[in-house]
Amino acid sequence: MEQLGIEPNLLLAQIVNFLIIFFVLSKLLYKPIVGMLEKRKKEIEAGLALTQKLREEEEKMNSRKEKLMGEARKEAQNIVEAGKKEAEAQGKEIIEAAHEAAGGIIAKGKTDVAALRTSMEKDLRRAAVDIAVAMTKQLLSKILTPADQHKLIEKHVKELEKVNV
Amino acid sequence: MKMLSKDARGFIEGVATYIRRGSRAKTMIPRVQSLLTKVSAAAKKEQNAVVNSVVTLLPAEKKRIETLLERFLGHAVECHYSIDTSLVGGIKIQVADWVVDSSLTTQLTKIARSIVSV
Repeated sequence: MEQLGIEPNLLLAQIVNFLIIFFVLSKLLYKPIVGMLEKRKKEIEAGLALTQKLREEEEKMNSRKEKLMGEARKEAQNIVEAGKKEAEAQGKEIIEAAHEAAGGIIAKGKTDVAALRTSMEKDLRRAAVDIAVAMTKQLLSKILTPADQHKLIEKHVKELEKVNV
Repeated sequence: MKMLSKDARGFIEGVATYIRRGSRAKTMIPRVQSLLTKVSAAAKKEQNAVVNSVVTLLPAEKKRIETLLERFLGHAVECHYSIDTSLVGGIKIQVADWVVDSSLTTQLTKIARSIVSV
């Protein structure tokens, strides 16, 4: 040992010193550091777990959101379809009502025209007859001689004479 | 208008023929007899009659008319004769509100009315 330059006492003292330092360090530094690391590790793990949880929540939320969006889209589509159907039905109703009204107007028009035609025919007939009567009176006044007039009077008096009272 | 004048001419010719040849279509013109069924009470009390004609009546015609009226009314009436060319033909006798109208103008009006009402 001495040939190697190592002094046993000094070595022993250094060993003792080392052990003392090791003991002191282990007591004063190692445990708090390890505790701190453990705590840090736990915090990181908790953070990771939280992140994972949040990710899962987000996925759930996304999934729910997609589902809701899908439902909303479907509902909107249904509403649009229903609206279209209702609009079509209303359109049909309006067209039918318009057709009906038009039919009524046409029928009324035909009736009015027929009535007007009948009225005009009557008026025309009345006018023609009035003219004919006027012309006949004028013509008869000219063509009936006094002899004809006396014949007419004779005929009427004879008729009166035949009457039994 | 052309058709109208044609129709009117036909009507006139028909009526003229009817009058000249004498009444065959008796259903078209109301019989004088039907007019006599309604001699009113006022007419029976009346003493005057108005007789209208297109020409001046002959004395014989006047006499026959007066006799007729006496028979219808039950008493003699004084007849007032006058000329009315609007009658066109025939005679019109009026006693109070009772009228015997056998004038051509009235007959034509009745024919026209019956044609229009068809």
